[in-house]
Amino acid sequence: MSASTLRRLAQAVPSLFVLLTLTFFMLRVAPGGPFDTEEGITPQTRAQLEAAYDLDQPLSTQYLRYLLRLLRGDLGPSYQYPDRSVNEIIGAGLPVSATLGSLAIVTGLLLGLSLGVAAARRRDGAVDRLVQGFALLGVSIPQFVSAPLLILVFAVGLRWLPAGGWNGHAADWLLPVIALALPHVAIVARLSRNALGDVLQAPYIRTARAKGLPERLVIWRHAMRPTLLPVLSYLGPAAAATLTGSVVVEQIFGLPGVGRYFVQGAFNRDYGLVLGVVLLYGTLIVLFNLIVDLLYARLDPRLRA
Amino acid sequence: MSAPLLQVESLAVRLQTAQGERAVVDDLSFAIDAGETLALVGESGSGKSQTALALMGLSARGARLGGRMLFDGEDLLSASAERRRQLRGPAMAMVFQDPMSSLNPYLSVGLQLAEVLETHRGATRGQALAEAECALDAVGLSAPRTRLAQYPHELSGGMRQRVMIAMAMLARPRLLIADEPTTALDPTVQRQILRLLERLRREQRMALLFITHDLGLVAEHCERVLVMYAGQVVESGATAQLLRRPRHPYTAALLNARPGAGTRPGTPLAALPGQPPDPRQMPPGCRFEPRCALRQADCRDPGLLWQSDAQGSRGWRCRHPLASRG
Repeated sequence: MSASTLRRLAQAVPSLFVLLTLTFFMLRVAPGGPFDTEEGITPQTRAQLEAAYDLDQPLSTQYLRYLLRLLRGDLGPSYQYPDRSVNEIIGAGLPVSATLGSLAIVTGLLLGLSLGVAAARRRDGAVDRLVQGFALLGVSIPQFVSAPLLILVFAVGLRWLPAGGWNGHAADWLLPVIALALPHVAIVARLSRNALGDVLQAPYIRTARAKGLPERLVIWRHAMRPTLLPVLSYLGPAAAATLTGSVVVEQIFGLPGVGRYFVQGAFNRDYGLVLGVVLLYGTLIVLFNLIVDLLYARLDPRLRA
Repeated sequence: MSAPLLQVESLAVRLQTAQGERAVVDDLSFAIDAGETLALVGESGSGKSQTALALMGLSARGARLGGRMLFDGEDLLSASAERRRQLRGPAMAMVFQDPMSSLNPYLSVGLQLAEVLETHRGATRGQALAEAECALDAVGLSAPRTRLAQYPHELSGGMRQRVMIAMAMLARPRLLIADEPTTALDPTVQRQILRLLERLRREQRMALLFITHDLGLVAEHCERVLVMYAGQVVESGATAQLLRRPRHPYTAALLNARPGAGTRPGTPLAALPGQPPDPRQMPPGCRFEPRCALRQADCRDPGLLWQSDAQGSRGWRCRHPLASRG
């Protein structure tokens, strides 16, 4: 690992610290508390619960205790699931979310790029129009519409695939991955179509053609690197978001991923759980932005110094 | 007399633009023999570069080409796209004006050279790189092996143009089209590049189509010259003759507009007044008539024809040419 990479990683620590602090205090500013929804608890029970979770302490003490625990890698208890720690909840949900998310991102990259290339080769041609139309549809249909539609067609109508659930079959993954990948495919197709269209006008592409290179090499060797740059800028943060789980898709397909817990945690004022997921998301954002920067340098020799 | 290497007959190029179709080259005819240097001279927008791209088969999409182009007897306009691609490199190659943007900034010099041989001769990467190293040496680049691993941004403008030339020469083309190859370079480097092109042409008996707006370079380096104006050839002939006694008023005006050895600093140059005609509204007769100091009443009549001298070695597109002796 190079010195600049290490420096970048070190710079990420203060960012994450600020994120953590802001989230910690903003959660407390929000009205309500973790045990407001519990029914029929006596004031005594409530006081005991709050004492058990340090909630009776001053906010500054709670904050310091949280930081100290975090240094040991402990994200603390969940207030809603008393028998499970936040580490356990994330540990159980992340593999599901990350598996689906990475499949969706890879699909988005490969399929989106193929569509973008096909469209850019003949701008304003029939394929281009088709891809443009699909891309517009893909970015404008929200997942709470596309996911039920997919279920309706492929599970209820055609009965090809299960409507939801998580039984360890590959078929369970298919519809959620399609629903997750759809916006990525659409956006990557648009980005790469526009980028490649511009790149193909560049003088060095004319040079490549003047050398008699077959069109396949002109596109995939000479034009692909600059085309990938904007795609990567999008996919980095998008990957962080998708890997930590989509709330909507996990809810609709009934998948035990991180996204579902995150929303439930926010509703229930489950401070520890929300903080844990935010921290995970922030870390992934930092990590993927770093990866994107490293890939940029791999792709563009002018950025290597 | 054997057939010329390249014969162009009444070439016409029409491009699609937002404002509709535009004729950028019209009724262009010329021939180049193997080993010959022909200059194509004209101001920006006169159709020089469009002619070059049409020869290479690289005209913009939607361009319509008319006339005939015979390369070594093969009709280029009726050849398939795949056949044209195969010809680019071993048959004809091109060096572009701006070496800064004409090399791919994302790929190493070595790869950009090697792929020419991999494509046209099925060479392996190793063989191709070894030959690329020799090619860089032949165009006078120092430390050719180091250059292979470098990227274009690590080279100076003159070095990049040498790389461009080495790249164009790799597949041993029989015709090299050099489109203003030295315009973007400073004068010392210009001379080196021109000498290099000249040497390569002689060594490989390659024909050179040299596109420029610089009549000084033409005088030094080219045997014959075509002067283009508004998409047409207005005059052609052997360089020395044409420069000494231009027949077309446009050629004469071009020659007057350049600083000579006797021009004193501060003397204004005889600039040609006016602008080239709008391609959508070409004058019906002589296209130079609106700017011509010597125009006469019949210059606007349509049906202006190409005229040539008795031997057919000189020609001009003018009803009232300047006197051949004076």
